[in-house]
Amino acid sequence: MEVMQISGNDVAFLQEKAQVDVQISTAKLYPRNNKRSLENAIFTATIDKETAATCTYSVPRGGKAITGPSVHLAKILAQCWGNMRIEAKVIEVGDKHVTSQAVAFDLENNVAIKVEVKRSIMTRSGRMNDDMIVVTGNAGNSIALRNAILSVIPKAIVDKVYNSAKSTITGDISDATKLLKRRKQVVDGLIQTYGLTEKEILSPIGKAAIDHVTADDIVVLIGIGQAIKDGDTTVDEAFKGGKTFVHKTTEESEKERMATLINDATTQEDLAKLEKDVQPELLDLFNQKKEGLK
Amino acid sequence: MDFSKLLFRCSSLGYLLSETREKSNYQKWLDAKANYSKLLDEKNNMQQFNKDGKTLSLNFKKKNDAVIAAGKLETELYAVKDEIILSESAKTHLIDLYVSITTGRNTDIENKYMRKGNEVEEDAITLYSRIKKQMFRKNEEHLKNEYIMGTPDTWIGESIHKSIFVPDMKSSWDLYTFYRTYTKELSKIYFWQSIGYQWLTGAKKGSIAYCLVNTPQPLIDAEIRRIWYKIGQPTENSEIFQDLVKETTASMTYDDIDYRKRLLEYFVDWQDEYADKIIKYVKAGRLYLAQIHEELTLKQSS
Repeated sequence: MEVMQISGNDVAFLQEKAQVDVQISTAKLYPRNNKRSLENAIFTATIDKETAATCTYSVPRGGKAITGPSVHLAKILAQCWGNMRIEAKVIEVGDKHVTSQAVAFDLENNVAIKVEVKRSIMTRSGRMNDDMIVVTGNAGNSIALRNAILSVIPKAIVDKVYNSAKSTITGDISDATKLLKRRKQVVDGLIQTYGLTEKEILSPIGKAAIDHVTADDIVVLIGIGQAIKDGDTTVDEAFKGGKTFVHKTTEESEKERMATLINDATTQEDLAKLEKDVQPELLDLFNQKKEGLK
Repeated sequence: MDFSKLLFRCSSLGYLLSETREKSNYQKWLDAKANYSKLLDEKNNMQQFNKDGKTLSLNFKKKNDAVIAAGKLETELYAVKDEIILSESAKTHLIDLYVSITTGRNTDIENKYMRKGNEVEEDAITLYSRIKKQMFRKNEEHLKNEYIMGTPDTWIGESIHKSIFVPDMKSSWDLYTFYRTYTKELSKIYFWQSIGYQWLTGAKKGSIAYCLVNTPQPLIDAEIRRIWYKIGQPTENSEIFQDLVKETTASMTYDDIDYRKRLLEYFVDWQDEYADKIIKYVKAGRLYLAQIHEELTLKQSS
């Protein structure tokens, strides 16, 4: 009898391979019914407004709200699409980042997508503590998993389910009265829950007045609420960090204008034209420039 | 409701004074007068009698009748030559104004172009000042006379009331709209707005200064969001989307362009007859508003 030496690593690999082989065989034996999978996903995602609301997320990035299908929707899709193997894990904890990796494997079509997401673990006061690093790693896993699943499942399917969820979120807003009512509900909800002002609520959607809030904006606002609940963003980041119009006083604008004109001046003649209008606070700058041009 | 003292905004004068498709009463009178003179000359140069020297020729009779008819028309038109015919766009504008006055609703629903114009007013004055190498201040005073009202952006002169020049800033939405103004004639709306400001300030010269200044960040963000919806709400990692964000931002900020190339200015000169023209149209506008009010009151109460 020949005895083969098998290392621990080989055992794990063989076990994994056997598992995948069985899953692929099962998938081939019981292929999915695309139509039914889609119907099931839509049914689950739109079973009630609360569930539908978890299907979208909005986070502010670069002064705008990024909205899209959430990890919850991705999971619903994976469950209903079937014949999939999905996993996510933290693969590296570095000095400044954690790296999450997720794989979504469509066993029936033999398509696998691997996605990596890096999340910063630095705060203003230095590196996060271990607990927060775990939390950040989990958030990274969620994002990586969502991106992997949404890359494997056909976009047409994702969009159909996502749009159905959005319609459920906004409810019936087929006429102006209904839109007005829903808009009020959402805005009042945010004011009461997070103690926000109307201006703060309008900031991530870039609208000047509540009257201009559209159905799409409602989805964004509900999505932001969901992202806050999921820990993807904070109230401050979503509603108070967005850039808003900076309104300077006339005096401030005039001082800035004069400072620019003084700096622009290339001759004594240019400066002389400004002299009568120079504000007292800018006299030093003016005199320095005058000396410089001599 | 009394419209007899209603003041028109300088920005609305262009609508009120817009030209009609048909000739003005004055032009009709001038044409009729010219026609009358021509027919009269022709008649005077005609053979009056037939060969018998006694009876009037048929042609002369016909010409004489034509002269009488032309003279009658000229007299009729003379009586109304100073009456203003409001154009269809003037009437539409007046109806909008009537709704606004009587219901308190405003038709000026805010849009991104207006928003930018309001938000960058000071920046536009700064750009203008830099190019003119002269300090311009934003005027805050609302001016009016018996017919019109308005708030000019800025001025040159002893005070806003003793101006010698009133430039009016128009902030272009982007590079394309800025350069497009170069190929077009100055719009009548802006022309009459400038004339209105000149009348109110006493300036004999004004201008419309198209300025290209950076779009404020919240408006750039709103534009990016609009694109994001348009291309199907991609994820934030989408390369196409990121490229569009870069392109959009670049197309709405102009620090890389020499500031001296970011102004296009059209000058508008004052003529005394403009004041008479505005007065006539304002009076006609007031009458039209009163007429709308009377007719609507009758219709709505019957």
